[in-house]
Amino acid sequence: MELIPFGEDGWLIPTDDPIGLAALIDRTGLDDVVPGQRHVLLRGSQQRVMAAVAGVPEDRPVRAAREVRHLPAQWEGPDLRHVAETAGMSELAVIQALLDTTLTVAFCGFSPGFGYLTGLDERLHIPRRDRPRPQIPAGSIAIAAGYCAVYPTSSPGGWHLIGRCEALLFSADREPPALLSPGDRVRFV
Amino acid sequence: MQGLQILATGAQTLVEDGGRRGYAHLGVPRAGAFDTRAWRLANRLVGNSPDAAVLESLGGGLTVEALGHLTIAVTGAVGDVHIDARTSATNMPVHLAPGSRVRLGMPRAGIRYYLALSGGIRVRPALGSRSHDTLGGVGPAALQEGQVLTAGAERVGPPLVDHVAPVEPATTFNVLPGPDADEDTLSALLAGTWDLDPQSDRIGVRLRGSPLRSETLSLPSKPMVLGAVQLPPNGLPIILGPDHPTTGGYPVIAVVTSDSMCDVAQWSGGPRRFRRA
Repeated sequence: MELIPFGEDGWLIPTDDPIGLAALIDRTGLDDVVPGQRHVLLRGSQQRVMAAVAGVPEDRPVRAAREVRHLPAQWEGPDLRHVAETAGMSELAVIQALLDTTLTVAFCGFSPGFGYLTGLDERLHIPRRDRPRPQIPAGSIAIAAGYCAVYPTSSPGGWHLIGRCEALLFSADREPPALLSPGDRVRFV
Repeated sequence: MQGLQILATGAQTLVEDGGRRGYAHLGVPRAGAFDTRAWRLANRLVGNSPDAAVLESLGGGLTVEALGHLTIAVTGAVGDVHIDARTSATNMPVHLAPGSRVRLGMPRAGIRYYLALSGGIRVRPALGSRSHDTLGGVGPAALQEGQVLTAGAERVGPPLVDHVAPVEPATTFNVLPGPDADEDTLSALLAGTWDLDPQSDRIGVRLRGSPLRSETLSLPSKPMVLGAVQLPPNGLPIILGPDHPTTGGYPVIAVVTSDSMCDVAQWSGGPRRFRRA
């Protein structure tokens, strides 16, 4: 495995399957194991990181598909019409495409509990808004740049808002704090 | 009871410790004291366990009243520590009688004060840390006027040091090459003189200067680390602070060392340079 140093206590491992690789890493003694789009970051002492890397089996077992999480959705967002027009679809067809797709949490970031969901219908791959909104309400379902996400907290954001989800995506008072972890499968209902 | 009542918060006062580990894959920043040297020193000066929680206060103005007899120490930024009618200094333990009032003056150097209280600060940890994260709001909320903080039980013994000469923050930051560094861009970063964009905070410290040429606009989002120097399309680098988002798509040309990040935390403006660690 290639290891790219990232600061004094970080190493990036390039991989086509960040979630699969992250699942095989023994986190004992490591500060963090973080999948991205094309990498896994290991943070910790060099000795611990090297030991964790050495412990990854050569043959990657086939991962059992994870249970599907169902997220209740209401399809009423200020950008639904714009998304439909850009995609050349009716609003109903956009909603149907979202309901028909099983998405996967590729990685998290941006803010606590914010999962980048992949697997979106190709017609819905549209760029971010030209102007980010200063405030997006918590629970907004949004798409941009090939991803779908639910904003866990109110924050600025540049994605297209197409719906709302009532589920509590993040709470520091529970373990795990985030409803969605990398690798989870998601369906809107 | 021993503790502090907050009479004025200054621009921003947060409870911080060593930060969170093990939640970055869920998008939770590490948070924690920005100037970790000052955080550790403050705890040493009052005889606390080195990882006790302290107050991190931006600029001057934080004013507290002692509830009970206690010892505090202020570190980080260099400035006057006003105690009732007398003026004391940073980097030394100060014993307070009940009712004593402490006010932090405008810093003469640096920008972030750290105030440790003997015994630490008793606040409920969130996800294993008592640090406030300004990105997602995890951890104890930013302090409010009138709030009472109770001392904890994290005193481990008498202070091991009684005074440390204040050190002005370094004006050169040490960097390691970043995972997306090309030699030209890194050389241009090291050759440049940079000033602070006032829109900087614990999430990111933004640089002002001659923009660097950015060949790559964005890359697949990858996990980020504290001190990563990102290059957005406008060519003005951003140094990621303790509350940085856990993943990001801009190229990372360098990484500031953890020691130099303490100097970045104290940067209030003025020219700075980078050099290879």
